[in-house]
Amino acid sequence: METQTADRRGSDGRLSTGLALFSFGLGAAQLVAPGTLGRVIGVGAHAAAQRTLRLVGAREVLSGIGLLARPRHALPIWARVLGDAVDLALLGLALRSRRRRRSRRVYAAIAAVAGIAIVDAYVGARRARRGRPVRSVALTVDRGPSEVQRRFDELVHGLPGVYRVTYRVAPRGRGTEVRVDTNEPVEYDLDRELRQIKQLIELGEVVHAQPYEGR
Amino acid sequence: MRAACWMGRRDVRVEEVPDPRILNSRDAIVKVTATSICGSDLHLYNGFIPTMEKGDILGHEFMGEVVDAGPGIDPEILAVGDRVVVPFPIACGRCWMCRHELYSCCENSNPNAYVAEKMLGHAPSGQFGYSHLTGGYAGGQAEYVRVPFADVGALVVPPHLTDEQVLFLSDVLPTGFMAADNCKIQRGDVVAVWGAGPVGQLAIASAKLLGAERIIVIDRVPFRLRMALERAGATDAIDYEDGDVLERIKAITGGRGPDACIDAVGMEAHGHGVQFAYDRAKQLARAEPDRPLALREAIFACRNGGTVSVVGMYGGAVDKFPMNAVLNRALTIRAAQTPVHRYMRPLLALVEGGQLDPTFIITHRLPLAQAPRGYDLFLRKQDDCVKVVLVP
Repeated sequence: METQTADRRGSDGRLSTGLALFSFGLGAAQLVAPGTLGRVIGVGAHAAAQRTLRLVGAREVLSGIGLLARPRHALPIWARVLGDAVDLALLGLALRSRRRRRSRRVYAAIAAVAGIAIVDAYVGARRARRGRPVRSVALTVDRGPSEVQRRFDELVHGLPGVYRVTYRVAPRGRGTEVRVDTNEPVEYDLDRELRQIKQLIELGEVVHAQPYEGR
Repeated sequence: MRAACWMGRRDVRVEEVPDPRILNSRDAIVKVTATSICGSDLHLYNGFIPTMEKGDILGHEFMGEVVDAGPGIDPEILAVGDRVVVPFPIACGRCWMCRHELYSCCENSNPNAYVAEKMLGHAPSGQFGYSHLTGGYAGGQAEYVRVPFADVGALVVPPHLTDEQVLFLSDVLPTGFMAADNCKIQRGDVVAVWGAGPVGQLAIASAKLLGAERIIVIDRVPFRLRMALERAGATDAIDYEDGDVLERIKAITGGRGPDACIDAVGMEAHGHGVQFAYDRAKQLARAEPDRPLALREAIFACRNGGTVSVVGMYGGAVDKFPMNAVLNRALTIRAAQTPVHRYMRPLLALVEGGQLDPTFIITHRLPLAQAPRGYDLFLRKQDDCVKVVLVP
């Protein structure tokens, strides 16, 4: 018998795919038609601007590949945020050297890049929180499954990073196996909390080792 | 109260510390009447056991009088005024491990189980005064000590037995006995024991009690070898300073080797040659905490199909471990931190009946205030020191 409660896993897959496709599109435009794009965003179509746009375009394509290749990792998305910062700096430099007529377009481009940076940062933060490989903490509690599940359901709520709890009867009447899946970097705290729940069930209280504990 | 505190490598001081108090319902507070320094305390003293913290109270062999008991303790089992001896592992008595008498593997008594799991795979029980890997519990080389799960651990001892007769039920007697018990000794067996310290002496006495006919002891300290022969019951003594141990064991055992070999030395074995220099260098470089010379020798010496019983303490992943010998020669290796609770009552009966008298290992009796001197004497084996009993 295996039962589950509390599946709280989220998904940011669609947003990531959208960002990747956007990267490919923008990168392709920058690589293929840097002159046209340069005029649209107000940085001009001179040779230096075209070279810079091609480099930025190549980076965009690479970042799109990174997003699709490592869909659960935060690193590609933070690389994008870094790229956004570089783009904003380049546009800032362009602003200083542009004539007033064009600077409105540069301001518009800055606003667009800033908007994208916010989306990137949001997805990055979500991936950092949820995108880690799943870890589990498992322990066996020397009681029947109904009691164990009832007590864990009461106490496991509010523990950070817990998105799934699975219960299974242990072989040879050894109680109940509890597996808690997490994707938060709090294994130590979670492990201790779960052991304390086991102590509450088996002993009726949490065991202390003072005077040293918590020092 | 006063307590012997670990202040760093080779630095034990008797300090003024706060009195212990009841923290859990099945705690008792014991006024210590006798405590002793264990050979494994020397590994702490020498700084080889990780996760010690400055100020930790030492001591896991102690006994005394119950002066306070938590509300969860049945007064029929334990009450204020009882004279008790306390096992060094802390065990809840209710988890699966405890119910299967694996008290030193209790699942509930080690609050630092997570850290221990990272180092050992799974966590052992909590222990008194033996690093934060085993919970960071205050030890018993003190005037008072808190005993968690006292209704499971503390054993009430009869008034006609002296402190010294029962004190070693806390660790070295059950450990020495288990070392022999794990050898599954048949009447007439040959047993070799590495290390003639307190545990080695009591392993020899236990092996004799369990029917071993020939008992070989290996050490390098003459008075300890003498004690093993004259008091513990060894039949042959090998001073490893005098030449090749394996050759001499073969000579004594008709070339076949002992039926069982007991390692009562552990991580700080001494020796000679390239192997010792290699182990010592790695230990000094903090690349490995163990010098497993005795263990390797025990494996090489043991007869084909025999048992190697390990009770010496190890602190890390042992290097140059002759697994090929273990496999090709069908050896069985048995080891444990002693589940003391399992052995206490049967051993108390043997002490009461006069079949086992562990007091012969005591060479020094000092007041608690002289604990630093006790550690130094024991470490340097000065003044023919084998066992130091401290009286608060």
